[in-house]
Amino acid sequence: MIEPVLEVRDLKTHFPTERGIVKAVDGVSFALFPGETLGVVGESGCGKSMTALSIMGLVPRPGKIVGGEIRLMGENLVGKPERELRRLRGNRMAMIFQDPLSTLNPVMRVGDQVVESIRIHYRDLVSGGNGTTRLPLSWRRSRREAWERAVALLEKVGIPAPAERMMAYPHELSGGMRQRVMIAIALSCNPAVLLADEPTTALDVTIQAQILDLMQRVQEEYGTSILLITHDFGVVSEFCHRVMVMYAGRAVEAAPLDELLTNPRHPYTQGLLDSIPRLGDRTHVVRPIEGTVPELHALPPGCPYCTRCPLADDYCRQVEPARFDVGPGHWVACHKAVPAGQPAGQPEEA
Amino acid sequence: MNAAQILNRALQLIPVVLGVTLIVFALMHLTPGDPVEVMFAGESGVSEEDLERYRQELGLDLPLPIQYWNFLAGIVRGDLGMSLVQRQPVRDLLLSRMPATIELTAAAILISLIIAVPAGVLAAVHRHSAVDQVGTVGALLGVSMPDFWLGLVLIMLFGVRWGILPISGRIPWGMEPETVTGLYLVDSVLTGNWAAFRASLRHLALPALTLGTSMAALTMRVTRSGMLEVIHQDYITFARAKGLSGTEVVLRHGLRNALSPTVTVVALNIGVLLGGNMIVESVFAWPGLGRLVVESIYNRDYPVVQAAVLVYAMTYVTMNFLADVLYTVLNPRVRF
Repeated sequence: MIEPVLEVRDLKTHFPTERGIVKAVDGVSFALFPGETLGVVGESGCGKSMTALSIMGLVPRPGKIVGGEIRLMGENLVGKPERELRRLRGNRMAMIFQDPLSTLNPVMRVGDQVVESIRIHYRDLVSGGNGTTRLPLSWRRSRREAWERAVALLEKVGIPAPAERMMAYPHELSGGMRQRVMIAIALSCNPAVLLADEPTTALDVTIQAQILDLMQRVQEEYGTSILLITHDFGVVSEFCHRVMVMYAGRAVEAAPLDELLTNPRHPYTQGLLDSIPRLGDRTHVVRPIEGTVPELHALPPGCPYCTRCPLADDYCRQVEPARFDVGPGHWVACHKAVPAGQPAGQPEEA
Repeated sequence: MNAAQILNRALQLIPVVLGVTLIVFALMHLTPGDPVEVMFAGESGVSEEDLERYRQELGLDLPLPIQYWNFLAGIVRGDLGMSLVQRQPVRDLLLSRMPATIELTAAAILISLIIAVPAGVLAAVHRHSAVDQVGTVGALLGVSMPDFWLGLVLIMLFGVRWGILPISGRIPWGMEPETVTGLYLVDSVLTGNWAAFRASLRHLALPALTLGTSMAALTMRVTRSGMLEVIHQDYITFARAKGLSGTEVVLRHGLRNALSPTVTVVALNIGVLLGGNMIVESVFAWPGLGRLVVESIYNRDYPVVQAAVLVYAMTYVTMNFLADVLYTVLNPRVRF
């Protein structure tokens, strides 16, 4: 059996606030296998980004990982000292963000930003990977090598005239170029896992396709495993092998891509799919999900989706559903998991 | 920013400078009293004709616009008139006092930066922690303690009680280093006169500390809020995601982005101080511009006071301009 590169078990990341504990991530589990792309889908505030930040060990204060395990190549990251986490960041795991304009340092030339990440990695190599920051004697000499590697990287991610672009500031590049720079930075150390938090959301559709294509090529070449966070099912269906749907800090369903698209079992997944307009299909009626995500510090005791679910009954409101398998690699956490083939919106009992 | 943009920004200063000269000129003529009469006040044997002749010589009988033009022309030539009391060119008086003020300003700014920037950054990074609380209280104290009071307290402690630092003047009489720049610290280093260096450094300590700590308060608060704003930016998270340590993130990615407001505050402080701090210079008998102005006010030596106001305003405007230029160096997105 293939070992997962990244395995998350029962992850809980909570934020103490004045109004109560916000359970941003509440018992999420999944595994990411080598060379695979796992899509994480859900509305804003469902805990997708916080899951990624938890894996990176970058949960903003006052948030804290209060339970669970994050195993990166077998090594549990939860509770690891910051210094060891720092060594893994950008090295075995890298992250790219939604808005490349705000993610790149506005006052630093992009070349310097790429070089910087190459050199951090280099420093860790020469310091024996023990996280010490003592500079080696060859540190100066490495600067030119790092610069040349950065140019090569920019070329690899499809930036024309990379040597000139190295001297540009982020605001002097287009959105797509900036996202390519960010990908180049993330890839500078050949990470085993790439966490991509809405990498195409801020881009034009045509650029989106190019960036996805770039990520796909990178994955094929390096065998990088990608956790792709998005709310866009279009992106998911283009790019992912498996999909996990999150709602209010919890994972509610996961399945291989085709299975999820053709046979969604959780009412929320069905709702998400029904709310997508279909190009060229005038008969398709877009059905939005009513209501909004409940506030995370005041979740109902039972199923988190019960406030919006058309199928919810008292049992749903009282008892939290456990996940159960409904097919190969397909599980769902719902008391009312719709039997295969039955259209959405019609409960079994009806 | 390129040279053309700097020039463009510099040209924008011209109306400001003209306005300043106009105000100074107006002040000069709104001040009650005839300067010529003040000049010869108390002297016997000066007839009305003599005064009239003097007025003509000084051009004070000409129409105001022409007098203004002459005033401007004088400024351009570096001619700021004659001191009524000391009977020497105002320019020479100002120039002789300038080095003392420059030296004090530089030392005070240095002290304020050494205190304020690390304190502000630490307070922001450890927001709401003990460090932050101490910083806040310290800043409040620094802002609310008047300079003259702090100066007197320092004099009492360091000068009187412990007797470890001199409390007045720039240097003991006769110890002055050979003049090269007029800045004693620089001159004593250039001429290798270490005794003078030590002496002037000791004299500089208390006045610089007085000014430095009170300026540090505001600078620290501004640095703190600048840093707080930056610390939550995506690029800080991304820098950490790259694998940089917390300190590296703050120093390499945070500080430069956070410093713009600090630069403004410091530049304006320099502008204010270069005009001469009247209170601190008086408390410590520091022979700088500020004390010259105070002396001149007591002596009703208007040309000196007005020239000092002019210098003060020009310095302020210039520092503001330099802050703008520095902005664009710190932040390449800024354009005029």
